[in-house]
Formats: sequence, C-alpha cells, structure tokens
Amino acid sequence: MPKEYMNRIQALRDNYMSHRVEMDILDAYYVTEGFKATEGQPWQIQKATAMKNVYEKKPIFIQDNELLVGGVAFKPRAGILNPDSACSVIEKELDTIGTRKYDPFYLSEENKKLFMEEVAPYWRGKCVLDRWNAMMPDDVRTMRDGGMLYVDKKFVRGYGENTPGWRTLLKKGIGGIKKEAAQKLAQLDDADGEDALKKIIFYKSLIITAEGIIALANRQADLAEQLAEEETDENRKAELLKIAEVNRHVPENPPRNYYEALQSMLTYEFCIFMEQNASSYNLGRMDQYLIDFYNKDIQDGLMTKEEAQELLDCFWIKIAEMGLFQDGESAAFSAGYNMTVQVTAGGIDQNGRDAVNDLSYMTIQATMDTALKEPNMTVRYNMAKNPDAFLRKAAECIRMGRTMPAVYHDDAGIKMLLNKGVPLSQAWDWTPCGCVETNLEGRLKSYTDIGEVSMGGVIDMVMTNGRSRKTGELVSIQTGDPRTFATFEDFMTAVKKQIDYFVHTMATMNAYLDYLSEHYRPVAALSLTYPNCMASGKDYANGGATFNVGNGINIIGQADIINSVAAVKSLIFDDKKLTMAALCDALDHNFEGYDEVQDLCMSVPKYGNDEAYVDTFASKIYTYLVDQIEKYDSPFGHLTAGMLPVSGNVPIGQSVGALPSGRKAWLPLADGIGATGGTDVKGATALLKSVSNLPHSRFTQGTQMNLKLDPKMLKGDQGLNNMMVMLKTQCTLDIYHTQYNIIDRSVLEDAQVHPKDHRDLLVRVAGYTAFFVELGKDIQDDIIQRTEIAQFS
Amino acid sequence: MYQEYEGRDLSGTVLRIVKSSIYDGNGLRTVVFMKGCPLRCKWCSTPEGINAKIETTKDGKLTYGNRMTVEEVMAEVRKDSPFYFHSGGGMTVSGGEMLFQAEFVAALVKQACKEGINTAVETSFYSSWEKIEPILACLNTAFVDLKVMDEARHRAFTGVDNEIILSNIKKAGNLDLPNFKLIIRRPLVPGVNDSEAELVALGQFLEALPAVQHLQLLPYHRYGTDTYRKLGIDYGLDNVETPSEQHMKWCQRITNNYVKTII
Ligand code: SF4
Repeated sequence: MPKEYMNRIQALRDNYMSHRVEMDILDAYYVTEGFKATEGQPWQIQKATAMKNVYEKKPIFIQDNELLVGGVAFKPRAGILNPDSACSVIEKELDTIGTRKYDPFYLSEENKKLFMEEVAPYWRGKCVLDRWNAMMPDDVRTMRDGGMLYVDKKFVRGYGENTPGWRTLLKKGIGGIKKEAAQKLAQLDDADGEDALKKIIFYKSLIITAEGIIALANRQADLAEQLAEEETDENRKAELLKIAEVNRHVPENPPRNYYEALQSMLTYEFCIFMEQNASSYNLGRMDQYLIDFYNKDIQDGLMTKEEAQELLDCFWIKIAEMGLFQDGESAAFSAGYNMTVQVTAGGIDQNGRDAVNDLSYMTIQATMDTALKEPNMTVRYNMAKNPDAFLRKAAECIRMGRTMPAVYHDDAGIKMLLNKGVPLSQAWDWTPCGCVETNLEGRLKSYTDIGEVSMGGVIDMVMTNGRSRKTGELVSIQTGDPRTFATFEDFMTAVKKQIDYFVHTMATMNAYLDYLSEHYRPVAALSLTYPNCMASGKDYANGGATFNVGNGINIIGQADIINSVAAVKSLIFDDKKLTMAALCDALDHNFEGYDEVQDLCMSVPKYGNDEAYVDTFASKIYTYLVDQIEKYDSPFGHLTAGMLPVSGNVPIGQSVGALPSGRKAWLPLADGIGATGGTDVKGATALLKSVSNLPHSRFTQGTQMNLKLDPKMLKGDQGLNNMMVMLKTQCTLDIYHTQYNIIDRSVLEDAQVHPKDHRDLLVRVAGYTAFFVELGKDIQDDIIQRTEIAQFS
Repeated sequence: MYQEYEGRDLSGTVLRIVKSSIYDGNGLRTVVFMKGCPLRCKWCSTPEGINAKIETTKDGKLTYGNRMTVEEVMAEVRKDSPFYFHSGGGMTVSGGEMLFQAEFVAALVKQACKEGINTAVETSFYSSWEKIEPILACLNTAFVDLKVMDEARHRAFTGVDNEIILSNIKKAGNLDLPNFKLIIRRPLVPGVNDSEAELVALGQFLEALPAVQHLQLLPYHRYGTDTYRKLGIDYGLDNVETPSEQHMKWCQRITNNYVKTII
C-alpha cells in the first residue's frame, strides 16, 4: 500500500522532472546593482549589500503542493552566477552554454542581453577568475595547458565544501545572531586602530546580510498570504497560511517545532548558496539536529510520523531543485549539475554512544521516497555501535537502485578529522562533505578540493621526460630519458621527482587561491552560523572558524600509476621480458603495431585482484604523495589530500598518452580508488582487499570507492545479508567509503539509445548521484565500462 | 613463511580458485576446484575438471589446471578471511572430484580448520572410506552428490557403480562429530533421476541417516556446454531441458515425506 503522503511527493516529483535546466541572470544582476550602489566601500560591505539586494529583490515563487518553500533562482532547477567570482565565464560561453557537451543551461535571448549590458561590463578584469588569469604564474599555466593539472574550478565558484552551523541557526535564529553582532559592534571603537576597524566592518557585514535573509523569509510569507487569499480550495488555503506563519517566524527566530526547523534550514541553505554559487553546503547530521524537535512534536501529538516523513520528503525535493552552474570545463570534471549537498545519518554522538534514532531511518526513507539525485544521502556506519537494523535499512535503499546511501566507515572518518587537527571529542561529530570529504558542523574551514592532479600524467611525464604527448611541448620538469634508467630505483626516483613537481605546482596555485579568497570572497551569510567567527570578529574566509585546515588537493588515476609502476618493475627489471627502449617505442606509438608489448603490459598483475606484487605500490606511492602534500604550509594549515575524482577521470585522461599499465592514450583514467575497468577479475572481495592497501585515513579529504553490482546479486533476504557483509567487511578492512550502482548494464545501454524512456534513471558518478541521461556520452560510456560484478563468484 | 605444518609442501593440481562465491555453502566462500574425477556424468558442468592432467583448449588459448602446494592454496584462501568473519563463510573444496587428490585435500582442510576457517567439500564420495575419514575429521560441511539410486542407471549415466557411494554416505550419515554437517545434493536431470520411484528410494535411504541435515534438489542446467566445445568433447545429454519450478516442487513434495528437502 503506497502511503497517502506519497501522493503529494509524487506530484512534487513530477513537477521537478518537468523543469528544464535554465540559467538565471537576475541574481547576478542584483549582485551587480548592490556593488554599484556601494562603490568605494570595503569589499565585505559591498558584497553584503549586494546579497541583501538579491534577497530583497530576487523573484520568488511557491509551487502547487509545496509545504516548504524557497529557491535560489527564479524557478526550480536553474543555475545562478556569482559575477564577483566568475562573470567572464558566461561571457565566454554565451553562445555555447545552451548546447555544450556537459551540463548545458538554457539561456534566453532577453537574459543574454541583460547580462551583456548590465552585468558583464562591470566585472571585466574584476571578478576573481579574471584576477586569477591575470596573476597566474607561468609554471602553473604550462602544467594546466598540458592537461596535467586542473586548477581553475575554485576561481569559478567560491566557498561551499562545508557544513554550516546548523545547531547555531536552530538555537539562535538569524535574528538572535544579528543581535549578537550588534552587541559586538557596540563594544568596538575604530579609534583602536585597523584591527578594530576590520572587526567593525565584519560585524556590519553580518548585520546587513542578516537583514537581507530575514527580508527574504518575510517576502515568502507575504507571497503565501497573497496566494492563500486567492486560493479556493480550503485545504490548500490552510496550507498556504501555515507556510506564511512558518516563514514569518523562521529563520529569524529559533524554530518552535519540526516544521519550522526544516524551513529554517532550507531558507538558510538557499541564502548561503546564493552567496557563492558553490557546491556542497552540507546538511550534515540532520538526524541529530532535528531529533529534539521531532520527539517533542510526536510526544505532544502535534504531528504524526507520516507527517514528519512527508515534510522530510518535501525538504529533499527542495534540495534537489538547486542546480549548480559551472563553466563547461569544470562541468566536465563533475558532470550532472551536481550540488553534492550531503546529509548523513547514524554514527556516534558527542558522548561516543550510538546516535541512530528515528530520523536516521527516516532520512534514508526520504531518499527511497523521492528517488532524486540530491541530497547526497550517506550513512556514517559505526560497526561497533550502530544496530544491524540501521545498516539493513541502508542496504535496502541501495538495493532499490537509489545509488544511495554511500556508506562511510565511521572510524576512518573520525581518524581523518583527528589528522586534520580536531580533538577526538569533536571528531566524533564529524560530517561527510560534498563527495566524500570530511567536515565539522559550524567549526571548520577549508576548500576540500582545489583542483586535480593527474597520476596518469605523472607516469606520462616520466616516460616522455617532461613532454606533452599531445603537443610535444615541454610541460613538466625533465627527469631523464627513461632509456637510461639502469635500475628500478632510478625509475622510482624519476616518478617521485615528477610527483614533487606536480605537488609543488598545485601548492603554488593554492597560494594565489588563498590570497584572492581572503581579499575578494567574504562570506558573511555563511559566517553568521560559525560561533567562532562571531567571537573572533573574523569572516570565515579570513580564518574565523574554530578549526582552519589547509586546502585539499585531489588525486586522479590511482590504478593507472600503481599498475604502471608494477608493469615497469616486472617487465623491465624483475623478469626482464622487455627493454625500456622497447617499452618507450611502444608507448610512443600508442601500442599501435606493438600488440605483443601491450599484451605483456596487460599480463602483469593488476591492482584490484588482491595481489601483493602490485598492491604494495598502492601503499608506497600514496604514502609518499601525501607526505609531499603535507609539507606545504598555508595560512590555514598544511595542505591536505583526497581521492575523489568526481567525473574528472574522463577529461583528464584526454591529455595522457599510452601508459606502461597497458592503457592506450587519451582514454579515461581509472575511476575513484577502484581498479581500471575490466582488469579486476577476482570479484568484489579481492577488489576491496586491494583497495584496503591505500593509506585511507591519511587522505583526509576522503577516498572514494565505486562498486557496480548486478541486481541479481542482491535478491531476497540473503542478498541483503550479502550487502551487509560487504559493508561490514569494508569497515574491518579500514576502507573509508563505498557506494554502489545497482543497475543492469542492459538498462544503461538502452538509456543511451532511448534517453526519453529513462529520464529518472539514477547513477552514481563519483561521490554523487546524477541522472544518467543528463551526462555526456563519454562519461556514460565510462560508467558502463566499469567492471560490473555480476555475482559474488 | 607463514608457519610450518604437516602437508604444507604437498602439491596438487588445482583447476581454479574462485572467490566470494555464494553458492557453495554458508556465507561468502573461496572455492578451490581440484582436477580429476573418476566419474563421467553425462551432464557434468565442469568437464575441464574431469581430466587429472593439466590440459589446454583446442585453440591453445586457455589452460586448465595449475600445480600448487597446500600452502600456496592456503595463501589464497586466507586473503578473504575478513569476509568469512562477517558472513560465516569459509573455504569449499570442490572438483572434479576432490577425493581424487584426497591426501592433498586432507592437509588443506586440516590447516584451514586450524586457522579458524570454516571448511566444506563438494564430492561424490566415490572413493575408499579410508581416504574420506581423515577429511571428515576436521570438516564442517560435506555436500555429497547422490546422482541416482537405481544401480544400473547410475552406471549408465555416470560410468560407475553407486555401491561404494551409498556405503560411504551410510557411514558418514551415522557419524556423530560435533561440528559436522552432511548435506545430500541431487542434481535433477529430467528423464534420468526424477521419477517418483527413484525419489522415494532416495528419501527412504536418507531417512535412516541421523547426520544428514537435509537434501537439496538442484535443477539440471547446461552451463558447461561451451567448455565441451572448447575442449572438443561431445556433450552427452542433448535434448534435456532445465526442469520447471513446478516440477522441482513436485519432486520436493515426494522426498519431503522422508527427509527435509530444500530447493
Ligand atoms: S562427479 Fe562431478 S565432476 Fe565428476 S563427472 Fe560427475 S559432475 Fe563432473
């Protein structure tokens, strides 16, 4: 029996599916208007005023059947642009944005005109992206143009990748926070010098922004009242009046009940998103933040469990309505309009006890009910403390083909936070972030993923002595002609030198990113809920959070480097089946006419089969790599690393020539931390064993593991048990994260041919979920080609 | 070197080792397929396991069989121990007929047992009791195929008598070992071993054996035919179809009168 509330959810879902993805220019227009009106003021004040202007003027809407309201653009599923970050992107892509390969956005002629006349002229040479292009050092530019690194995305869109201070929001309300800022401001005297002045400017920016957020909520209330007046259906009229009452009260005030708590979170989520147009403003541990509201309403008889579920489902759909606009190149790296707004359930509480409650199950249920790509539902599975029933609920949802929740081994997440310098008492409260990164609610700042390093590129540079195979140009350092390497150690020395240089170049870029962010990326709306920003008088962007963590460098192509190093060791040095010269010739010709060499390369044991010969390099190379990354300091702490390739393994592979692993030129690099598609032939257990060789917890921005299972494997109760065994073993092996695609290959193939019939087919791309038919063809192919584990044997 | 133990360096011919199987006993299992079988079942689905020698397909592309020591096999089996822990799985030795290399298997099973790994075998019991007993002594589960009760038919379809098989099942079925389970399997081949009389005889035979946990009926399938082609051997059963679910249930109802039966 479908539950009654599902009628509303189905209607909202249908409405969602009916919207095409469009581009909104008005947000950018009002931002620009705000900046123009405050010319000469400090940048923080200009930005705050600009956001207030947006909140006060942006088009708002309430759709049929909605209980929770709001939106970032003039309609659902529209992208917005932060002109102060990346105005020039639209200018550059004006004519291609509607038709580009990855994540196209429809942009009307009228809006194009508005943009070109009112927005673009103001920001030329002024937006963060333009400043970066003007400042970018030659070594970074050369590596970038050679396709070895991807370095631009954080200049295109700003902060995100955090878990805002939901507890503070719910406890104090924006009004309460604003009052605190006013009190702080009253105590300051600008005669005390520049430090005091900086604080004054900051507190003023908080107040201006808070006023804007409150105004937006009241506009929503006004609209609801107006619609109620026109409404003839009595039920809907009552709902609209309720919406008005709720929005009149939150987020300005602390919520009085569960309904208001959800609306408060939603409005704030939209506001901080509008401030930066960035991905992954995570919802964190909703089951923990909301449980008291929920329990009270249930106890007092104000709400049934079904009503609570209905509201949660509505919330899910509202989150899915946000769409991330990014430039075409960034979109290729994380295709699918993904926002990667993560919600996590389970884990342990701040006393170290089992944190699973009713809402832990209900958040998973919301993903089952809504079957949309967002929010990115995950669980913190604490094997020691969480009940089997909870893991089973997660397994059921995965089996439904929802691709979610991804499952984190809780202890590994905790270790990552410890390794970020967070004490254990707080690390227990960690939240997953974005794809698979780690975070802490209202307390931690970092960019978790500033750009990508191509590990396939590292090997490429060793084999070509620093030259791009695409252009023949020198793009990296020269580590010697490989034909002259007498020993395996010589080869490894070259590999390490290339790694050093890749990391050095990323660190260079990071210095510019920190500089530009500190100057041109204040985030008052976000800072509102960071208690330490309030206490210290510092914006999040300037290090106001309790814990500041150095930015994260993202590594792509794990299997490619591991397999290549093993192949060189085996073929050239251990078994001497091949000379380095012969290997170089074969690679120079992309194995064409060198089938025998390629066969030899393929015959060496491959990562993913639980073979120690090759898997040792997973440990060795990645320990070396993270050691190098952590050597670089920043104002926010040493740099950090993650392995969350998003869909970047496809575009970054397009610059990498043939590799000793046997991979041919320009093909995608391996996905996530998994094996190269088709080379893991010993089943799921062997694959996980190999993966466990990586030093997971040292990659504190997370390691992302994708598995594709045939639905047949998960049939019946025994199938569910099998899934649970896999998840528990993941924890035993200390593997941080796994996620599953449970889809027949034939369905994916059919969806390529008949996209119309599969509009709501969900697939796991990397750390997030996307609609399969909205992905570019090459990314679709990559997903299909990942080894499917058709049975456990 | 992991550790010294008896039989560590014995070598045997292994067809293949398959991991994370969910079809060969409890939990996720590593299945060690041994080469060599004295039977010639017409429906055999692993013809590449019958010949005790290492052999190659006609096109030369695939080789079946690999000489390995007990310790080399153990090294592979150990790899999945975290999965055994959570699933209640372990190692299953199969074939071919694993009793063809009984000494090797006994050493393997004994060592796995010592390392806390759950053990099972899949066998036809066509061997002397002296070879079987040491294996059973440290075994958790034996899956024994009882292909046909009728003696003449058994010979016609498997190439050997069933006298010794029945006698071994009887002995094992009367064993009283603490952790030992005996499960009898019947591959149901339509027209060969699925008549009412045949099934009643089977049920009556098993009814008297206390150690028999249950009887499992398996539907005949033609999965092996491709390998026959590759090896250039004729397939013995041509026009036989996989039994329907209905028919399986009908058979189950008959044997259930005597012994707990699952499909
Ligand atoms: S006993 Fe098993 S391996 Fe031997 S022939 Fe019969 S079916 Fe094949």
